[in-house]
Amino acid sequence: MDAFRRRFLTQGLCGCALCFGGMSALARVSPTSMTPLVGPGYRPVDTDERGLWQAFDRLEEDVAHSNMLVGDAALNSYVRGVVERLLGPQAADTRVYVVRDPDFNASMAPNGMMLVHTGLLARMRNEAQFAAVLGHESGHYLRRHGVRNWRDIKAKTATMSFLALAGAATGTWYALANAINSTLLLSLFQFSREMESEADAYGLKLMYESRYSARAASEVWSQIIEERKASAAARKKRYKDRATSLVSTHPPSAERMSDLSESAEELLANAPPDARYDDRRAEWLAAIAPHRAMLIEEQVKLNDSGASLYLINTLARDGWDGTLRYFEGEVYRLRDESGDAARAADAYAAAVAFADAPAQAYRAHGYAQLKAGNTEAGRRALSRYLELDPVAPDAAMVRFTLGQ
Amino acid sequence: MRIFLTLIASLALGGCVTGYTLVSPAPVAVAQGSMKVKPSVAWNRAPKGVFDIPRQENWTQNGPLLDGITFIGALESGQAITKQKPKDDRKVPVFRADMTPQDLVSMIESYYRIRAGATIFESTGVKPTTFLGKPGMQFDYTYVLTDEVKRRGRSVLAVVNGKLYLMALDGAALHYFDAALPEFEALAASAVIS
Repeated sequence: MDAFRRRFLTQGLCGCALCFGGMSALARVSPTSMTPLVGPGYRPVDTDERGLWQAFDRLEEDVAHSNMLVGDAALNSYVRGVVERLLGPQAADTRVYVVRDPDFNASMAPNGMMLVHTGLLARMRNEAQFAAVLGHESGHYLRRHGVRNWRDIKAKTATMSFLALAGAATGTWYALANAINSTLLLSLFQFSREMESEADAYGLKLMYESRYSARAASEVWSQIIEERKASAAARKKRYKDRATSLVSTHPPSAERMSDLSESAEELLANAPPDARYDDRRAEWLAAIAPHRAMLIEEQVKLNDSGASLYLINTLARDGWDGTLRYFEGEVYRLRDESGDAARAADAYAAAVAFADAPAQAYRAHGYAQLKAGNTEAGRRALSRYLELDPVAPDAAMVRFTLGQ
Repeated sequence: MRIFLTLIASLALGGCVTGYTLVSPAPVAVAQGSMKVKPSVAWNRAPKGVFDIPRQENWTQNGPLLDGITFIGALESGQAITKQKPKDDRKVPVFRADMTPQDLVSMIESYYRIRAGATIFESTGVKPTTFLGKPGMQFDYTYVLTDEVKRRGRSVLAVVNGKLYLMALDGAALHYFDAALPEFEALAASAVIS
């Protein structure tokens, strides 16, 4: 199941850009050339597009009732607000679902259903970066990439029926989405690459018009590439650029980042002198704050130390705090290589020096001190953990440790 | 701990999974003879999954998607509770004889997140217990895999002479976990090191 899930999560319905690499270059698409192919309140008229929408509407019914959604009203409202800022009245034609999954991804279905994964929320440093991804996905919708993809598939594979495909995926909406997604990608690498360039350009345009800093878009891809390199390096593996395969749908990474950067500068060069563009970092941090520990924890507990440390260090560029130091320690504790126990102990000690250290940091600090033979310091920290969270699920076990 | 393997098997083989054998309600050695338990009802011993380690055995009453019991016995320090390769991107921490309760909880949670693909996993209780006549730990949790069924799990474990002994119950939160829990508790109470 894991392999199925990963493919879906890393590719997305109109996949968000996780694949990079070196195939033939495409001409940069200018953001100002992007115009919507659907207007507000668009509903499909042609038979095939209506069928496609109906299939995704059925999929969306499952998604809307999924156990894997983040139900928090404030977070959903905030995400909705970013989409509304980007799309204006046309945001009413889209629905956004925040899915619990630690991988970096977002996706857009042809009917306006957008999935935002918690792994995306974990990695963004400000609202502009988040808007860059949502803008990219919105670009897919506004350019009708879903149905254009679908029509090309039908032209290429006359024997395949979308409804038969949907029926074949007898599992959950995840399996169905994956089946649809894989087929789209396998059929259409070159066509989709053009679409990705369009979506990038459209995303930038939406950001610019919504007064987000357009430079945030290239930052996002830079962070993701660096994270993947760090993950490979930690396992002593060569970084493999997945976009070198025939299923590659995304423009080469360097070219893509340079296109995004060039387009952003082009937009800003022609901006009105009094226009202000910002990254809305404060708003982002306030919205994410109640969920930040959960978001980082999801990633850290996958024990992908390279990626996790990269994420933590990236977030720490805006300043270390107790939560980040605690999770830094967790990465080392789970990695468990030579010297990691000491590294973890140092990180926990640094965590509890912050006033905002989470209760678990005291537990981790306590056990690390006990392991190192510092009994009194360890007991003090464990006691502090129980003071801070007397009804913690593991309170009985910690009390048992203290009683020994 | 192996529900997800059946999900893989049913996708790959169209649900045709063979190799189950009957476990009669009588004292029986499990997990390569490392422990003995005394079931009060008949169980089905499931075939080995691709990620199962040699010192592991899995039983089920109603099929692994609904309920299952895992036994892992006499696992040496430095070994993992699942098969994995050194260069896997995401690895379950290996068992160490000096693990703290916090480490053991993390090891089990990582198994569910990495091997089973649990995107939601919550600890609901960690407390001391007696297992195999030794001081042990009981870890209760809930989780959701990609099939979106809410499940509950309980791992009971002890480290004896530097080796890990573990029994885990998994079941759908609706009915099946609670239905199997009394038998699981009786099995755990009956367990002895062979």
